Amino acid sequence: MKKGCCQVTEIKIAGAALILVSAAAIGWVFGERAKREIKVLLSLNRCLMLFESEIRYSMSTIKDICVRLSEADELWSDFFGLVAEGISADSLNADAGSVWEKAVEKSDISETLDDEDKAWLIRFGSELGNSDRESELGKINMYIDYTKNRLLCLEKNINERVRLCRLLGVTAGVFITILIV
Amino acid sequence: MDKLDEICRILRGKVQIIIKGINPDVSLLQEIRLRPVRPLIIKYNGKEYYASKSGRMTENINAAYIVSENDIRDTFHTLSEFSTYAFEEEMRQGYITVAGGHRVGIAGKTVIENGRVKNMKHISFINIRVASEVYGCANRVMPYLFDGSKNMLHTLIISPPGAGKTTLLRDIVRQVSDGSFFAGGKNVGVVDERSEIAACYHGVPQNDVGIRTDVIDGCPKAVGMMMLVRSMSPDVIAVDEIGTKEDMDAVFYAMTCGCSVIATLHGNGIEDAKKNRHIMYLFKRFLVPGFDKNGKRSIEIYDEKGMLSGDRD
Repeated sequence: MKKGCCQVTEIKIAGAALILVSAAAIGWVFGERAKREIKVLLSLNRCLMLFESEIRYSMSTIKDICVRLSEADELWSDFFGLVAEGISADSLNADAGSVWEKAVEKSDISETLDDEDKAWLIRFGSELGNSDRESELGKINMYIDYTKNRLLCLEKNINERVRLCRLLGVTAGVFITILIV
Repeated sequence: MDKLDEICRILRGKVQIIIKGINPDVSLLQEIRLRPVRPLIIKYNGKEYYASKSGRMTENINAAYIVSENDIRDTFHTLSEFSTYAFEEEMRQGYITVAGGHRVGIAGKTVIENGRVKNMKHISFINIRVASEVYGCANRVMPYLFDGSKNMLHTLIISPPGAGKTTLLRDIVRQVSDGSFFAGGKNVGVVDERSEIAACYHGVPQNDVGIRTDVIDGCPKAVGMMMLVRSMSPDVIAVDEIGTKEDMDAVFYAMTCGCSVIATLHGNGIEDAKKNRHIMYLFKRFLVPGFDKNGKRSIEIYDEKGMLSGDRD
């Protein structure tokens, strides 16, 4: 009887430890995700700057720029590869805006962005390539500024966000343990 | 990719399906014309046809496919590779050269700034001119283009539009560059302001202009000639449609630098060249392509004094 009671307690302790570790791990993952969002935005910012210089100095087409970016060592390379592929495809009804939007939906990297950033990215793609050089540069610069501001905002709070995520993870673990055990 | 694929890649939607359905012999296909709410017209073997909805060529206008504004808009976006800004200069000139060397003429509403065409918007008219190269069309003039030391003579091709000046120039460039029975291969520099000679696409000549040919594409002729002389040390410089004083100065500069020059000029015949003493002074051979009384192609060859040296079919 006493032995059975001990076993139950041991299982409870093991379960509590498991919950605590899992919740802390989830908190840690969210913290890392917040850090990765900055890396992703930073990479997008670099790509956009390259995009801008390709238009300003080489007047390259969107497809050529995307091909170039797909070969660059950037987190967004696969995304730009998808866009270049979509534009090159011999489909009857493809247009650059829809190709861009599909690439945003399909690519893993854009999953890191929050909904607002994703919407901005889609809007940016849908307006791309329809106007003269100055207007194109204006649009790209506007989006570069947007990503810069987002980066500033994220970087400012990143330490607190990471700490908060980790703390919330542990706290949630403790709370669930108390509730269950 | 064959030539029909190259053309179909520019087209979109129903127009693409129709042209694929017609499957025309591209060597006889000359033009495809798109106008909004007008029949789709094809110029084939010198004759105009309507393209029907079922993908056939017909002379019956009632069976013709009516081109929509969307067809034109989508086709324009495809040929500009969804990057209108990258083709501003071409749009100012009124045409875009696409893969395969085909030239697409565009017309719409022009945007004027300081009296100059700044851009074009509302593109509503598209004319796809299928590129054609005529290998060997210069064979008969080649013996007349070299002196005793096998150096190329300064040569001017004169004819009205559509008589084949550029086609002749291209074949001469190819033969001079590759080398022929009359002289070994020479380094040729082509200044292709309107992308008509080499028809470069992404910097690569789509027409065969020979193995020793360097092309400076989309560059004003006078500037391009100077650049080529300084950078590529060509033996021969080829340039299309000279006319302005700056062009003539650049031709003279190239000649004094030891390059042979071969150029074309809009005109009706040798008489137009004789009216300009600078031209008569600079050039040693004059070629006048055109048509004889039976409508067959002919080339008249004149010497430096404007005397007929040969009249060839």
